[in-house]
Amino acid sequence: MAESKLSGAALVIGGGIGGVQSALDLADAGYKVYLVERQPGIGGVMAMLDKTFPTNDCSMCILSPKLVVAARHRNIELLTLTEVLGIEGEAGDFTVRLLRRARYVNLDKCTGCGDCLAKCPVKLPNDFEGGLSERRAIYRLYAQAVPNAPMIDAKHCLKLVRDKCGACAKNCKAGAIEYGQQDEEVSVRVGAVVVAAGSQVAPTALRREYGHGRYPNVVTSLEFERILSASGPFSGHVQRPSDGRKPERIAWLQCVGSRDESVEKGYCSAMCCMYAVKEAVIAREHMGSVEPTVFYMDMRSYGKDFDRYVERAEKQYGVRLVRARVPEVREDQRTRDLVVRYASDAGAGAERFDMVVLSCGLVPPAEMVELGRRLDIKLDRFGFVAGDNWDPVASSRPGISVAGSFQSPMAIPETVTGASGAAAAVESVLAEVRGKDAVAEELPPERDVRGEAPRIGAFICHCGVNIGGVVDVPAVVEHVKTLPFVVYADENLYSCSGDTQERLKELIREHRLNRVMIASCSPRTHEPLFQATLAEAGLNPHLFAMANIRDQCSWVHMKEPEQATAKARELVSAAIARVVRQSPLPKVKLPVKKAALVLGGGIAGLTSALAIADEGFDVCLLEREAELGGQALSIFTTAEGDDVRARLKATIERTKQHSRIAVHTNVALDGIDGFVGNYRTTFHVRGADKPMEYEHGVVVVATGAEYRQPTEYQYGASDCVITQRQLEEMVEAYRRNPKTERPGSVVMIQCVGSREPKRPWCSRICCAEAVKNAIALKELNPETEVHVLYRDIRTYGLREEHYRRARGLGVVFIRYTPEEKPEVRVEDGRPIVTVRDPILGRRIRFRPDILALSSGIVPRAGAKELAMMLKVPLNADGFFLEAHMKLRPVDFATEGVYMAGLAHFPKFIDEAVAQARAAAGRAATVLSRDTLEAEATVAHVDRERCTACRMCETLCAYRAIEVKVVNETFGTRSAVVNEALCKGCGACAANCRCSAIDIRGFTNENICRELTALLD
Amino acid sequence: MAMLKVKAKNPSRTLRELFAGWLSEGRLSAMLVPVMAKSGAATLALVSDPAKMAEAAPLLPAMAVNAASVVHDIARQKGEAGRVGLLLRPCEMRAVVELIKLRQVDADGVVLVGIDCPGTYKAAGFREVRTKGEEFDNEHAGGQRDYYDSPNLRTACQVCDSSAPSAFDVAVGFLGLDPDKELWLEAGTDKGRVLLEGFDLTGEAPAARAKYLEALKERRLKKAAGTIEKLDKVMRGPEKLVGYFADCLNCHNCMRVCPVCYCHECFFNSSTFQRGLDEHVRTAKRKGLTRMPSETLLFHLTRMNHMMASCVACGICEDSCPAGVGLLPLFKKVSRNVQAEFGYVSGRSLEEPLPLVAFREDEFQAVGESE
Amino acid sequence: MADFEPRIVGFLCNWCTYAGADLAGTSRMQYPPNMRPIRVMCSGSVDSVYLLRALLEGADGVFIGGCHPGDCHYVSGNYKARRRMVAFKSILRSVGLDEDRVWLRWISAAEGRKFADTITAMTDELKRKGPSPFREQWDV
Repeated sequence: MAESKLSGAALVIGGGIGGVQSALDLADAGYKVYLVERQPGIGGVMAMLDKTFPTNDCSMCILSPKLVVAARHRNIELLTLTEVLGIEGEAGDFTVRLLRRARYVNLDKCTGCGDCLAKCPVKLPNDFEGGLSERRAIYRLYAQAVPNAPMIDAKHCLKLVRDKCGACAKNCKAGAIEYGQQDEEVSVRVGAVVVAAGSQVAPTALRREYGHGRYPNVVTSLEFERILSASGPFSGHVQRPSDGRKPERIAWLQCVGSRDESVEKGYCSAMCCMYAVKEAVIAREHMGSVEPTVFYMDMRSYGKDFDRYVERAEKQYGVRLVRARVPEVREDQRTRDLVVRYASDAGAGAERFDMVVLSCGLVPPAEMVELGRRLDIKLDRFGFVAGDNWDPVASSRPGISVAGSFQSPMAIPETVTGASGAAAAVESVLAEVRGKDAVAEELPPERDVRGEAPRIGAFICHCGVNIGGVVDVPAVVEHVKTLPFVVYADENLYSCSGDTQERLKELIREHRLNRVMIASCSPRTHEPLFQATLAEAGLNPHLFAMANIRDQCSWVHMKEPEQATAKARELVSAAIARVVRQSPLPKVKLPVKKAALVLGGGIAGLTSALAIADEGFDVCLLEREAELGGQALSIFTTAEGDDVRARLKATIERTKQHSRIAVHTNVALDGIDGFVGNYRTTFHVRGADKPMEYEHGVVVVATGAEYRQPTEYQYGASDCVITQRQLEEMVEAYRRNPKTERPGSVVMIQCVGSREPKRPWCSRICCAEAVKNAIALKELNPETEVHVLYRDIRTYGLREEHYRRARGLGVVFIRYTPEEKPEVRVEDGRPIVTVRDPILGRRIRFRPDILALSSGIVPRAGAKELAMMLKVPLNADGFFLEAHMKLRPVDFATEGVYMAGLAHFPKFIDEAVAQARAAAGRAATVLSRDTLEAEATVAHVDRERCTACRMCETLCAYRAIEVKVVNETFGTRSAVVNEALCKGCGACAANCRCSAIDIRGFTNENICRELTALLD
Repeated sequence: MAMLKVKAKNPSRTLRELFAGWLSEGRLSAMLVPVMAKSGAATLALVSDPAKMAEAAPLLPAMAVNAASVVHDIARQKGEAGRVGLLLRPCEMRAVVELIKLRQVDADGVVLVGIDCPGTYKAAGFREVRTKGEEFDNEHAGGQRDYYDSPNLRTACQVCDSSAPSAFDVAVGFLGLDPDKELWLEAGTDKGRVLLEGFDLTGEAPAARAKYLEALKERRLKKAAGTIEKLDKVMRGPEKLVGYFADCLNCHNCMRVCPVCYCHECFFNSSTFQRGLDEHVRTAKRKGLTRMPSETLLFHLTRMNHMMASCVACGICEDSCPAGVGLLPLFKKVSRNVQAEFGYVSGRSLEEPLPLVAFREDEFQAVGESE
Repeated sequence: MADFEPRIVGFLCNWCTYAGADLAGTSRMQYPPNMRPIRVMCSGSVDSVYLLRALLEGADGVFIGGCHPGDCHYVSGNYKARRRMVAFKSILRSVGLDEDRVWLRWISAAEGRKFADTITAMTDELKRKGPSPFREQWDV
């Protein structure tokens, strides 16, 4: 391995959620990562969003922990304000030229205190807030930006432009402002690249007739996100930009810069329907008086729980959905109200609104097209990478993978999935150099402080003037000296600066300190830094406490210095009370079985198995049926024209022949025991009685789903009523044998058994399948009449192209409503279909040769049993439920268990493949390690006190605590914590009456002492 | 359902014979029953020899401990010898049901035989009352009109509104009937049906019993409401609360006798509550002085917080308080209120999940939102 | 009671309310200094005994801040906290203590403004109420 010429590093382009996910997966799997971002901070578009659908999660809340972890990761080098100039070499050995733009702020020196910001005299519109608020020439992208250091806008800085001012440098106590910085070109050597550069919101100039830019109360969807956001320009108070009035009637106009071939944006942006409905719901949640209306073409709520969300929006929140095209928006110049003209089935109309939100689609910006050129990868006519169905994360250039909306329009979960999948692709190129360039943690041996009386070093930080300007720091130092066990106390100008860390280490040694308390800023941002310093000084990092006397004291009580000082004193007392009782927490290391179990031998399972094996790990693939291939066995082509059979066959062959993969078919699963890193599965091959056993570190659930046999529309009453899938088989037969007799007319009915009260989900693939078969029929014989009866056509993303093409070929699409479904009867063996045509406004009748029913996808009956075995949840519909809909789309809440394919939800082949690869990417973060380190601040059970009442078992969301017999002789039972699974949330401890459970580092005793100290 | 004919107008003896039969036929390995020992102790005994069932006093109207406390001690794990029968008064049964849900009693190892209870006397001094021996028990069971407002009963019993067993395997009823003539038997589970094998269980539940229980419940609820109303009048503000517990010695006896206080070692016996002298002095400094022993009220409120969902209002705590703190009305009130929040009734059923381990996403939506 | 300064102990969940409080700081939103924060990992980890102890030791108010329902970093900790709060407040009410001295609020990492406003509102309300009787009452 040491001999390999391959580079053990990877480059990730783009610091949005996709790039960050790729970087984290790669760095966690033993690679050095350069994470390149053009902006001064990472976070991308997601950092601008208020809430995310369908869970209405606060976007920033779920994103920012990931950003912080990425910025801190010892194997991720964050290169902000950086862009790619060019790339040379080949997979395994690239040299990438980068341009690093000057920030004019030294990242090593800047403490992020923000003193400079308010002092800058230049005021500019804040682009991050859609220009709805101001920023200065020195500014942070957003309040929680990572890195937290500001940057100087060189174009507007008085010092840089005219050599005047210099206020920021004068006010920076840390001396971090460096006006002399220059842009510089650097090169890095990497083995592979992930491009997750994202896309941008479609410019509203594409639809000038909507008046964005001219009418102040017309805003883009992204601007509206900022308006909704509590940290946005209006602090979350929904108001009109023109006059600050609370809007009541708000309209959303869909498909701005999407599904619009007239501006060469023929694709669907895949997410706008949902975000518009979400914005409408959230606006309504903010103000009950809001009356939201969404003007749309098709409601594309095709994802997991999306239809339920839309239904709730309509019924619970009164969101009005109007299927109509809007040719124009006009402004009433006096009131600044807006008049929306529209054309719907009911005819033309016009309505007055207080605000109009444009649901702008996604477009690859010009810079991306340039990036594509620099990377020498092929882009489609829109500028997307749009890869192969069977390898959606690959670009045309080996060694360069893509993820996110630069690949094709997609929302957050697909982006995160693609990102983990791209990481897996990198790992298959660089499997042999895993660990080569990654830095391992090296620390001095830990000093054993047990038995020593506490010797606390206490440090009170001035944070420049941020704390010292309000709080009387010397007085707090005097106070802390009076507290028990404090043997050293001092003040720091900046506790976080590099030299202070060195001094701290010396003081720990010199004074034999065995506890440290630092009163400064927020532990959320700085505790890890100080803990690392303690570890470097040979102290257990948990012999530490912080008092937040800046963010939650000096900054928020600026006008009451005396009271702020009193509060600081109490916070310090509390921190000392807490640290006195802190004890060194052990690092728990658990060995990892470097092998994966993949359940299911369909496309998802096969792809996962291959990807994990290519990453260099052993895989055991179990298939219940006698044959590998799953649902794909009955698909012939994709809409894009791939020969599914041939490619499936090749995939199966490669799987069977892979030296690292063991395949078993006809398998019945007997049991899966264990936890992340240490699973043991027993199974047997049907017919053979010898049970088999496999030990593995992770599990991939790729057990698929089933096509539902229709019971509606006279299915079974006539040979001419068939499923969409049978139609595909027929089409394939016509292709192979042009002489077969062909139907002269075909009617298709969509949503058969899907989006029904009993099965409320959209099966996601049926629209594109119908379109595919319709096109095939037309291509085989343009004379064939094809009518598609639908509710909404959901050919999202680039699939919209097929829909457009089908219409061009003369396929007729007729919409029906669930209240007025088509009626089918069979006469003389042939179906007669009647349906109300909303455009003609009357019922029409067909007597087709073939009636094809698009029957949906349903979960497997056995899913429940497997879910119980793995202790993982299913959603209300019976599909496996991921850990988080947005940010952990292939993970289960149970660590070490991942999912891919239809078991998760209906999806297309490319999506299943991407997810399967993502599962491999996630699996590698576990399998690449020799040992897993469990969280130190986990639950701990005092077995003497435990009464085995098992309430903790029920309360634990992670199944990390279990009552077991701990003494066989006496049959004594006690709760036992699985430290590999415990997250330290404390749900168990807070309910434990006997006080048998404590969270290490947050014990009842500690917290009670802390709170008593606060009241002294 | 079946009616058990009472022989010789002695329901106590009839029940003893029934129980002895269960032992001799091997349906039970032993049975926990109330006894009146020769020494005069109104207590409990675990009877294994059918012949010794003669010592049992199934209708003994005195309560020294809540039998659930004993069950907790002996039946945490299923025994090897076979199932043990437990003759339980309704409040005892409710406590056992809570303990089963709290995994402190292995339900498999026991058979819950519930018996109607119109109220009990304090065990201490009971021998002075029961001069007539078993006749007293039988008369007490028969003298049903006296129960309504008898001031001789334990205070908990005077306001008790659940005089019939719930969540039982077998129930024995006599309220509303003439126990000199017949007793009523019901099997609630398969386990119970095993014991009642040989009885024709197809009969209707006697309407007289239901009617009687309803009337008794109404009277008692009224009385309980009166007691709580009285309490509400005095319990206003912290001073009154402190006053309520003023006589408390901090002996923690109430915790020790409580059938649903199931910890091996009390929270209050943990490092969290051990303070050094310095800390006590700091606490004293805050108010100038501080009560010793410390944290009396914290103990009671914490215990309340821990137990209220499972409290069965048996009143043993009050009986056992050496300082005479009238704990029952307060605990009854608090537990009733807490359980009502969750639509929970302690001991009502084995299926209802304990309120603090269950949750629904769409409940209590106003909690945590600004008013 | 104009010059009375209430003492509030706050339990702030690390992922939402503590972060929201930090954001209020970064945004320099001013609020009264009466609340003393204790950082906990989850609102679901706040044992009721902490609340009782704070109240009996003389805190004028106790504040608990957690993630909005559905947003819990630990899946469902806040739902558990919510149930426990229902029980806890029921007890306070039943024993004649003032339940309005205990506030549970959902405040996200993005709601710096809401955090500042909430602490301001709580301080104001406690000023109106006056000092907790347990500040003086020593024989508890």
